[in-house]
Amino acid sequence: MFEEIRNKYLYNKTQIIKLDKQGIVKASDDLIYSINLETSITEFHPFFETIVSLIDLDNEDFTFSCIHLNIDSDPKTLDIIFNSGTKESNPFLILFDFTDHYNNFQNIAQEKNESILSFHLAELKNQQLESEKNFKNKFLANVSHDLRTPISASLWFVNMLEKSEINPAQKEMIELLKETQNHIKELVDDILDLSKIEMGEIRIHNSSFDFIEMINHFKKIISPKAKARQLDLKVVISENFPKFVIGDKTRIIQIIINLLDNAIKFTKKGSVSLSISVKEQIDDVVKIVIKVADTGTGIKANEKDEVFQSFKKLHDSKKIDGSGLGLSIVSNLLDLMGGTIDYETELNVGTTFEIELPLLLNKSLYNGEKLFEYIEISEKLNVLIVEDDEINQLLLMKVLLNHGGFNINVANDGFQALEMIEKNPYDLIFMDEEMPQMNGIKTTSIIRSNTNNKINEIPIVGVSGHMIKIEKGIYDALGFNGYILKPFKKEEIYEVIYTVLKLKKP
Amino acid sequence: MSNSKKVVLVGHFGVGKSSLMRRFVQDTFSDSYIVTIGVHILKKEIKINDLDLTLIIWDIEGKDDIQKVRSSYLLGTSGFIYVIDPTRPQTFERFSDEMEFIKTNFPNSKLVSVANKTDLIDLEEFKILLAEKSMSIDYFASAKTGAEVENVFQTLGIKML
Repeated sequence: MFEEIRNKYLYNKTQIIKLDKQGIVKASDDLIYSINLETSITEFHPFFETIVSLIDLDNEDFTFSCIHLNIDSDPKTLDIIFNSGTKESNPFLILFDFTDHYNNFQNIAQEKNESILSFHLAELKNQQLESEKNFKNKFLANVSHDLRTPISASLWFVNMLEKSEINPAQKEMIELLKETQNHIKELVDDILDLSKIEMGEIRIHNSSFDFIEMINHFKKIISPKAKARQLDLKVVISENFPKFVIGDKTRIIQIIINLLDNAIKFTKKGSVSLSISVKEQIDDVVKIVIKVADTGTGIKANEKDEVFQSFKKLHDSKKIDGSGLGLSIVSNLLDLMGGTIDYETELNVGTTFEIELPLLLNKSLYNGEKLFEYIEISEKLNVLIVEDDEINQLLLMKVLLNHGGFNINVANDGFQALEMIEKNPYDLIFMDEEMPQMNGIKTTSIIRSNTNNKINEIPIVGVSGHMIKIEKGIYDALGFNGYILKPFKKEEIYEVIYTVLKLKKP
Repeated sequence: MSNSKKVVLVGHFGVGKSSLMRRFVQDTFSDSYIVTIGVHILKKEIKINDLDLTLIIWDIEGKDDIQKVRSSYLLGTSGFIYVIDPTRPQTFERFSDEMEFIKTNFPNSKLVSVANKTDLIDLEEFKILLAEKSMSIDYFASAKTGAEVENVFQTLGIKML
């Protein structure tokens, strides 16, 4: 019975070949291949060259798995056992035909390897996209530096011009100029914010602030815009809304302004409303709801998925200004703050955006932060401005000279600054971050490593056009005591002087 | 016998070992990827100066670690060709270790390294990357275009003689 089964299923699946010590075929049962006797086995297939090189060994067994032999266009896959023979016995080969088995295995391996290759490819594409994104962000950061300096200068001069004696026609032109410049500044800021978020360089800075005062403050900013478009602006704050909360005030303002600006842009008639309420409060955490509703054009069904994507301008309207980044920034900022945003819309009826945002309650009394319009100084302070750009030198000097409480020196670069601080005692240095030859960071580090305490302890304020680089922790680590960002306001300069020199505020 | 040498192509799967062998032996190329399981063996005679040399080329299944290769496949190997795919960094992450393993365990064998698929990359950029990684590759080849393929085997042949 065994013999019958063996003959049926295994008969042509194995072959035994006997060789002599020179690799000449002496006998073969030819059940798989027909092999010529008295010829070298190497002539049958180059695989057997390896066998012949092992023939001198004494009675050793070798197993070769999954060997593909394509003889007479008949591909087979074999396992091959070779015994090198002894002094008394000849070497022999046993061939096992496992073609079917290995063909099945081939299909599995093909599928597995292809999926790994696809994964590698996807990984590589992701890396490429990531590096392109980083390149884009770095590019934007560099462009920002170049853009912010002239914007800063032109805004300053327009403001100065506005305060000079001008006739009504000139005033109107200056108003238009200011509006245009502010618009450019907003666009640049939008682009910068998004690249900063994408580079993971935006940090949330929580502080205590008066939420209701904040809302009332920017109601004043938004009202003229709504009025200009003959829209009714309603602001509703629920009665139980807490006055003092802890959160990132700057970013919350940015979010609400973005939504209100959008609402005003897309509403031709009717109203825009902002309502603030409390959804729930658990211990010190209050979840607030901010709703911005308009009676505008609404969002088309096919655009709904794109609302929070970067550089997506909905409505196909060239008449509506904007970078298309506003809602993307809002959504990203909310992610960072643990908030969410959703919206309801109806075409030609209006849209309501609804934000939920967790904030901490500040139960202690808090007066909020205030920027100072004047600075009180008992003795004149010696200030060194290190700045290569003449316009920026002028801007800083004007603020300080107009105040009258400062003696000012200017250094055009880091080398000159180092020479000057050796010769003159300074109470404060304003240090531009980006300068040719020796930048502000390098200059500051040299000052900090000076052995003379009168020099290495001089307070230094970093002046940066690079929004992206501004992180308080980074500035501290670089040896700066404070920083201001271009374009800067007079009040910001005073504030940083108060902070850095630890002056008592009035 | 004396004028035939066993050459084994090693490296990760999908780097193009089979394609290099087929380009060299049969002067053919196909873009479709067919996984090699086990081993395919082809031979080709080359001339080095006036000497005839038969290369018995073993195209073995790709492994991310040469130590995982069946030891019987490597018996009696005179020359190794280590192949990487410059478009897949995974295929040369352990390059130096792999080269060291071959040199240590097969001290009498010769070895050349090949970056295949160079038609798909910016070669200068890749060379900079290699320099950064302190990697030295002998040949920058392409089984698709045939670039440098002949030289790879010819050079190994000279080394093995």
